Amino acid sequence: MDRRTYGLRLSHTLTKPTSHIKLEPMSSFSVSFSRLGAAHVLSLAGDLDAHTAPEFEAALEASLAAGDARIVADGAGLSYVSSAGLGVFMAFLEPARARGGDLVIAALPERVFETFDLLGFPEVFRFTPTVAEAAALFDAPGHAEGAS
Amino acid sequence: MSRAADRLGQLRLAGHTGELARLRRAVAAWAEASRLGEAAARRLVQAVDEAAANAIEHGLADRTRARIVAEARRTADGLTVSLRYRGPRFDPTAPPALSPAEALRARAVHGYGLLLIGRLVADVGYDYARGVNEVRLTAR
Repeated sequence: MDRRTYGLRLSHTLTKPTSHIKLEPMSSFSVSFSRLGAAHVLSLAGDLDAHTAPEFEAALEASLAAGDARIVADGAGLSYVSSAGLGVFMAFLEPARARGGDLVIAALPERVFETFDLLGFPEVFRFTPTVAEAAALFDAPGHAEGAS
Repeated sequence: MSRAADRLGQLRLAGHTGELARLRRAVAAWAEASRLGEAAARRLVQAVDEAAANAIEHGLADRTRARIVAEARRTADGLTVSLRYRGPRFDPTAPPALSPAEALRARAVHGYGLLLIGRLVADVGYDYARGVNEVRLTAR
């Protein structure tokens, strides 16, 4: 996996703050970008809540604006997701699919997956145990879009 | 046992989302002190976070000066966390506009918080008096 970080890294730990992301000293959430095959991987870490959801939203906006619609949200580092985070995932699902891609959610800890599962998100999103499996979905010729 | 003896703690929050992480940590500590199980504690933490986020984003009368008071009380069979804040009536026990299935079909971006709260805790209570909302979330 090419873990080279490119483009924006959205976190208060940034050494070079971006101009359009408000940096919050108390934020415990970060997004970093990498590429794995055809997939654009957003690695999420920390708590995705009503306060930090705009950072995730900005990351997804940046991905689509850059023409990267084959998106894997690597949730291995997520410790919490609130409804605000769920709303961001939902907001970008159809825009990604409309561009010939998808928003696949990978490697979620069980306790975080529970929140998605309580509301039935697995009916509309693809979830995979690993980032590699999520990325492989995009490498398949004419990868099928959508979970249902 | 007196009400004072039942009280585990109280936290006053400013009316902005940057306070939510502090609230979650406090609820987790209250849950641990009341020996709530791990899963029930995690769900209570999320339910309180969702209710407080709703209050901050939709319910507070004046977000610049508003305060939310969170208070935990040990009950006979669990732990109740209440949130009190001044603002327009905002009843989390009212039927949601959409069911989860309808929200998913509509690809709704908002409204999942209220849908979650009812699924996360054993009881959700609500009172509104003299301009103050009180939401009570009980885990067992």
